[in-house]
Amino acid sequence: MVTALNRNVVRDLWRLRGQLVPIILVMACGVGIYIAMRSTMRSLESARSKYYAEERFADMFVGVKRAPASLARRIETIDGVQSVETRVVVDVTLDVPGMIEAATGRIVSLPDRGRPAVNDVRLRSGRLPRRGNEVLVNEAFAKAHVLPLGARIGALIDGRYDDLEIVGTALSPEFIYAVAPGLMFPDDKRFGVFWMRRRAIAPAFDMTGAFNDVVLRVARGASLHDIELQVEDLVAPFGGAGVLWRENQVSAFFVANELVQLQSFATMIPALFLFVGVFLLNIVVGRVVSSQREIIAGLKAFGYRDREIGWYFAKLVGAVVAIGCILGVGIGVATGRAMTEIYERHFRFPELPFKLGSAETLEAAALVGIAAALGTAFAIRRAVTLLPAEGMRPEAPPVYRPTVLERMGLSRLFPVAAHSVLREIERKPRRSALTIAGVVMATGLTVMNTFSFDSIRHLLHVHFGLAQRETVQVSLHEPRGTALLSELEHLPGVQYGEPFRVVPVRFRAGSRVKSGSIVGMAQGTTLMALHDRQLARIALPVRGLVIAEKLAELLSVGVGDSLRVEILEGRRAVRTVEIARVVDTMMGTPAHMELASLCRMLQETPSMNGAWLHVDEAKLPQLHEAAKRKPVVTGVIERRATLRSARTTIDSYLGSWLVVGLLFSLVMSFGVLYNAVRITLAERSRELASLRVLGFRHREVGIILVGEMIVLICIALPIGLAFGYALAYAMATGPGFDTEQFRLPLVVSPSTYATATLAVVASAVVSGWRAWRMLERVDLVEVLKSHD
Amino acid sequence: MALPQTSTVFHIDDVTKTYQMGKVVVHALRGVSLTIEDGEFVVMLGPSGSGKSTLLNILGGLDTPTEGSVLYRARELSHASRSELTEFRRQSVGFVFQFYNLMPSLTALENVQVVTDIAKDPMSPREALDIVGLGERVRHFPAQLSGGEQQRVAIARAIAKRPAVLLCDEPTGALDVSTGKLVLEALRFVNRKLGAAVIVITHNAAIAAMADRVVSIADGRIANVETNLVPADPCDISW
Amino acid sequence: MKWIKRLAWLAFFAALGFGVRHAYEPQPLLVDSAHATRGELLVTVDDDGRTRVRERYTVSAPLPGRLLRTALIPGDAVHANKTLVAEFEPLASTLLDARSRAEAQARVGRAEAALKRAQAREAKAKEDWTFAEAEMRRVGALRGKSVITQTEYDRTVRDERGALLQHRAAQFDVQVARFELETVRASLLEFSTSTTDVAEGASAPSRRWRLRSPIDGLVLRVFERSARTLAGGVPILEIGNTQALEVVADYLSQDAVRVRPGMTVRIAGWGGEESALLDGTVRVVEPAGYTKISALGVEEQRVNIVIDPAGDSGGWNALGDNYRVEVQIVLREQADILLVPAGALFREGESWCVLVIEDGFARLRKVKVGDRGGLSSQITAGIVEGDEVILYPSSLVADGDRVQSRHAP
Repeated sequence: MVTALNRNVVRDLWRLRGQLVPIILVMACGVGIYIAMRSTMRSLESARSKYYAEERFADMFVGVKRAPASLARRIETIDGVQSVETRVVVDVTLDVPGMIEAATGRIVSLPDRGRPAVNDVRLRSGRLPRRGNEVLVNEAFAKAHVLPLGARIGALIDGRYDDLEIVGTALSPEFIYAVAPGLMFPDDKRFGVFWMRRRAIAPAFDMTGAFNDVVLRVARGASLHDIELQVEDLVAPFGGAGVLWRENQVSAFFVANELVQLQSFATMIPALFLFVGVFLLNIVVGRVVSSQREIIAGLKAFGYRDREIGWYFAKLVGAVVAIGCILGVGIGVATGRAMTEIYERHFRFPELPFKLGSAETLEAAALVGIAAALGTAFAIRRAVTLLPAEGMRPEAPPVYRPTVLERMGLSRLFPVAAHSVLREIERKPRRSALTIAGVVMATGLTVMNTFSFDSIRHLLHVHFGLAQRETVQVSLHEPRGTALLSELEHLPGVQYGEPFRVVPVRFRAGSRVKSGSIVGMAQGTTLMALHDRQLARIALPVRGLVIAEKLAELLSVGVGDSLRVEILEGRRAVRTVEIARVVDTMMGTPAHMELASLCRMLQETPSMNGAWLHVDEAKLPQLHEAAKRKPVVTGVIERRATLRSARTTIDSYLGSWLVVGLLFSLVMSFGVLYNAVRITLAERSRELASLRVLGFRHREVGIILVGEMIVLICIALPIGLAFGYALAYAMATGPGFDTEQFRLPLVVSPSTYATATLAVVASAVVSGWRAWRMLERVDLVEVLKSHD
Repeated sequence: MALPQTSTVFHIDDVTKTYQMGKVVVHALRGVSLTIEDGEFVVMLGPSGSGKSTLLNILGGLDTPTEGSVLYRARELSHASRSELTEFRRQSVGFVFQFYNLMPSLTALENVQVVTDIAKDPMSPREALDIVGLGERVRHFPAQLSGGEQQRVAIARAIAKRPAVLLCDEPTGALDVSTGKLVLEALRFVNRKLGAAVIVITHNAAIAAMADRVVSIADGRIANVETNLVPADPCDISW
Repeated sequence: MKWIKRLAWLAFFAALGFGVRHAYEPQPLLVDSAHATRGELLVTVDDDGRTRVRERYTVSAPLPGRLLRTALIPGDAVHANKTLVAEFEPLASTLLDARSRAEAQARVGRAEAALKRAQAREAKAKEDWTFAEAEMRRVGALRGKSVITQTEYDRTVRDERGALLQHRAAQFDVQVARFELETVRASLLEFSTSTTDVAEGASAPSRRWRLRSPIDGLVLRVFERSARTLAGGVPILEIGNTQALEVVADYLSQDAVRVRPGMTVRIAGWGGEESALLDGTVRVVEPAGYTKISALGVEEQRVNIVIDPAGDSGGWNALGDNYRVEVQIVLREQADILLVPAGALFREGESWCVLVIEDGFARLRKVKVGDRGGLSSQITAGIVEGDEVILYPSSLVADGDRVQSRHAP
């Protein structure tokens, strides 16, 4: 039987809905974000493990110049190595029908028969290649160019264009995130992956009976370090360029990094929401208990036990939590689905379903429940311990004290309304502090959400506007003498060019080692500029190395220190170089050196394996055409195309999250402010009504009501903006955004602060307007009659 | 003092009560002794601040005396625990307050039901409301009822559990004469027909006429005890 | 009183509005910029070249015989008719050979003919030079009376210089021919005497030839150092006068077409200080091209262009034979024209544009471009001197964006 008291729980909930709805929304947001992020994380992680396991994703990647096939067996015998697959991997220029620019194709060989033992492919359509120039192409590339099965693509192999016939599309764990070498963002139109039978591709690159790439899987618990050393020893005579661990492989890195980012958000943001939601609940429940003092006393007078009263309020809180959780699950599923969809667009998994994790849901519900219980414990305790006699006695009148202004002697400067507002704030310092804290958190959250937009814009602008200024960057198949530059300058449309030489190296400082590369360029280049932290241009020193700050940090070195540089090609010399300067770069960890110095270090005549060219854009189609026909040119990349693909990736990524994040922040700030003003209304309506009776106008009385909220906002906003900056700082220097591949700059522009402020102001306006109208409708006579 | 007998409902012996209200210390009762019999209709008279409300609270087990003893049917209440007091109230006491203290979000019927839900052998809420003449208004909320009607609902609530004692704190304080009379009628009905001891606190001397005994309290002490050999009828009273 | 309050509120909200709007103005993008200036523009065609010693003489074995070890190494100075460059023992058997003898005689004949040819050429060159010199003087006199333009005068000066050099070259050729003749004659003589000696049954006298340097100069290359038997005509060493260099550059034929003799040349990348340039003049654009495979693996048609040094010889002295240089032939020189760095220009559709910085905003301007040389381009319409243009604007900077220059060096 539904008791009357239970019915009252429902009635009370309905009666208090105005105050409870914002709280429920805030809680629901917290639960929703928790569920969405963690479920997505879980989905991503499980999809990844499954994929890696099913396709036997490699643990180590080794590139060599040319090693005999027999070496594979020796690698297999290393202790701890489980399986080995040698391959021929080459980058070629592609002539794709319908696209003027050349695309880059990475051809990865498949064993002549059957499937690779390591890094298998997942067939998506068509069949595996059998003979000749049949290839599998990665699904994204095929989709981007709308290539049907049977389509042919020209690939510059061995000096002439061969037609590759597409017999199927595939996915591979090696290319979940497929970026062209040297870039950071995927460009499915300009970079494709092709799989071909070994015998079809090896001869063209002099790899018959040899390989230039080997991937291996290790047994569980094996020592990666030991295996690495042994593998390096084996491949060193064949031009080994260092061993890459899975965690540093481009695709694997970006997927892992995404999870790291999610991890930090998944904890912090829901925590903020829950915290705010719970303390709002605390305030409301506390108020309900206070206002129902006499009724509680009456019930106890009628013999209701203390715990029955306590249980009543617990049911009330429980109902709020339950509704919040249910709503939260809905929000969580919707948000999680949207997030997963975004990931599906950037990470090429065979499938990436969003699964609502039951563990996560229960966790969220438990967290909310516990938090709510803790948060309202004291208020409920008051109800439980209330002595009926006390309850019947009128509550002691609230104690007011002279305000800060009065103590400072400034009372005369301010109207009575101001004093009234300030006194109210000072009377309940804990509640005022909690309201301020809530606004601070909402503001901070908005700042943290929004600043990444400006930061990324800054990163793009500095990298593509100030550092890289070339029209196109040309890569060569192998180093050539610098005299090649003039030939490049004679390509159609080229006005002038600057050569560069990239050398793969290993840096050593003490016990710390880092693989990387050195870019050699001439002094006084205009197409590539180095700059310091203040973005002032710096000149390339004649001698010595200029390294990225991140690299300096990883190696614990600074200006003036010496680095041991192990050159991973050619004569494999080992040299000591002094660090001349450390510069702040946001993408990658490049090291620069003067070209002649670098070539001397390599004991070579001045050579280049790439150039930056300034080109008349009108002639770009001819340039691409001409470059396509030059076998030694492996890539012609337009700066503006790279920039465009970067922006597309980022926009699709950030854009929707920005809006959603803003919505969430609005829910929080609205919840906090509406609650504050509603409670003030409830507590002071008698007082304010009396003023009205005495002849005050509604406007004058309304100001007192709303004034409290305004003052609290004025205090909270500056703190909130500072808190937002701190959150942004934590995010930008945290593990997800301060990585070797990129570092998010900390750029918090005035517009970000303005947005955060406006969000709070908007919430305040809406809340205040609502309360204003409610105040209008208060029946003066009724209010004066009752106690409260 | 007469020795406590089994027909005695309450026996208070030298009860003192002091409490703090904010920063003020109040000496509400200063050594009060009193006996109340089964089925008695007692009116406690006194000006505001005289301590009568405090005495009522102590009788009803809502408060404990600072000193002295309180016996309910030979059970010691003054040192009883909270849960014992709660049980006592649950089973045996009905309250009527000056400002009704109804739950605004429950109907008249539900307000009575609140109490019958926890009583051992209550009458049905409807019955109780019929007794006070509100059978037609059971579905109305307090906001839709006049002051007198609200007070009658409160009485129905108080009697629905068939209490041994009915404690009323200024039951007619907020009502006009005619409505007040109705309320007093109901109290009288309860006292006579249901056999409950009724203790009414008031500052209105006219009401004292309907009591069996009138206890005057002033300044925390019992000033005077009068017996009405022939209690008046409520309709005959006016103020 | 009331309207003061109202005014105050209005002012407050207005300020708030401005504040918000200002906050949302995008932060100015940092860019590199430069000013359009008036200056000179050199339109050049550039390619790689190498130095070549003009006067180069190869000392070869006059007869089959045994070369005794030479002591000379590349870089040694030699003096005409003084320094011993090689010692030679003709093979006794050869001397006995009638056929060899006849060959030697024939060689003498050829050498005599070559000498005559060289002398004839020298005479012609001398005539040309005399004429050019006279012309120059005549024109020079007229110049003082401002009947002749400076350009014309310069041309005659240039012609005179060219003719002089040609004459010198011809003279050298004569010298060489004479030396050849003497050498060959001497070898013939050897035949006569030795035969007699042998015939007389005397022991082979192991007569030694002493070859002396025909010219002043430096030893450029030594082909045969160790003592060994050589056939006739095999080169032993190469001597040249590195003080007289020329530069030969192989230009793509489509570039060579634009080059005329007499054009100014700048030589860079020769190893001197960073921007030190040497001067030169185009002497001749060879009429016939040839096919070459480029560094990128493509067939190209190349034409040799020969350049003479000009100007101060300090830098030239540091260069030797077959050194690599970068040749910049000045096709056109324009002074006092409006220039911007070429990096400021970009295409919008078919037209050239720049982004000019005006009051902190980037403004798109269509311009007309004239010549381009080096890193600068001539602007013929669209902007004026002093306008600040953005260098290498990326697609992130658009017309109307706020920008701020970071003062590229």
